Amino acid sequence: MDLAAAAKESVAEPEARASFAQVLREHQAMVFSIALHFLRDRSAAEEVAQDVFLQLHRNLDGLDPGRVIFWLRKVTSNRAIDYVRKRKLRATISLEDAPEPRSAGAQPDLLLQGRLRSLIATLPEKPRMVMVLRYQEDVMPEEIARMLGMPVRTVKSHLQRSLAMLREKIDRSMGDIR
Amino acid sequence: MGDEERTDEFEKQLKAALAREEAPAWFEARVMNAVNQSGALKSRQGMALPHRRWQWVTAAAAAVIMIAAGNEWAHHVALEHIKQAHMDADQRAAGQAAKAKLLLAMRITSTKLAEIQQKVDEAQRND
Repeated sequence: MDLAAAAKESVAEPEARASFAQVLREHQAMVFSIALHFLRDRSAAEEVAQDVFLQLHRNLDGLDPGRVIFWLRKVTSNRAIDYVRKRKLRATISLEDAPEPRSAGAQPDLLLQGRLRSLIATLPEKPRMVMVLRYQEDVMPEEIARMLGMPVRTVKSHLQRSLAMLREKIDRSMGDIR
Repeated sequence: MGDEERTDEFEKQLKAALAREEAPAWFEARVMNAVNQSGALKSRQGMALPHRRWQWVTAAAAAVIMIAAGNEWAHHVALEHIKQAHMDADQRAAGQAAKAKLLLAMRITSTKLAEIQQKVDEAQRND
């Protein structure tokens, strides 16, 4: 590296660092939550989220600021899916084994939400990530399709089938609370 | 409750179930630390480059020295062979000379013995 380039880098470094820290602060909850809801493991979610931000740091220069959120959601989704595939962390809970509500006297909404999270964890990888992006991040099917590299109709089909399965399981275990 | 309302309520519960959670308090510091470490690693790799070049220079110099030493050793061995050959020739010449001296001494001794034998025979005949 020549002196001019080194001088330029030394001036730009604190600015880039501050910019990265700001992006990290703003989006860490989003990235961490996508990984957490998909993996259902806090330490694995932290690991994936950290890797995503390290990759962001390496690619910050060439990234359009208006595309940071899309980029983060896309990279987090793909990394979380890869994490499961590499470590064979398939959902170990089958639909039948997913825990039933423990106490009928507890707050119904909290019980229902806990049950829903358990049932979502039983979905295959792609449909599970589709559900996380749709209901955690409120991402439209067209954008989910671009993030996960699949046709829009496949995303819609995953959503319909997953919702139908969840409703059926919830109805069976908790009664008609739709 | 109509189907649409029930769907809305179900999706509302799904959104609540999958609501964002805050990352752990230490997460930001953990990532910044990892970023700093990866930067330090890059710097170390950058500094390691000249060091690696020196390793190549050192290895090349060692190879040259080893080749030179090998040539010197081969030269020394060849000289030793030549010296040995010369020594062998000298030893052969000395051996030949010694053999010639020995033959001469034997011939002299034989002549002397013949003379002595002749004198003994003459003395016996006179007796």
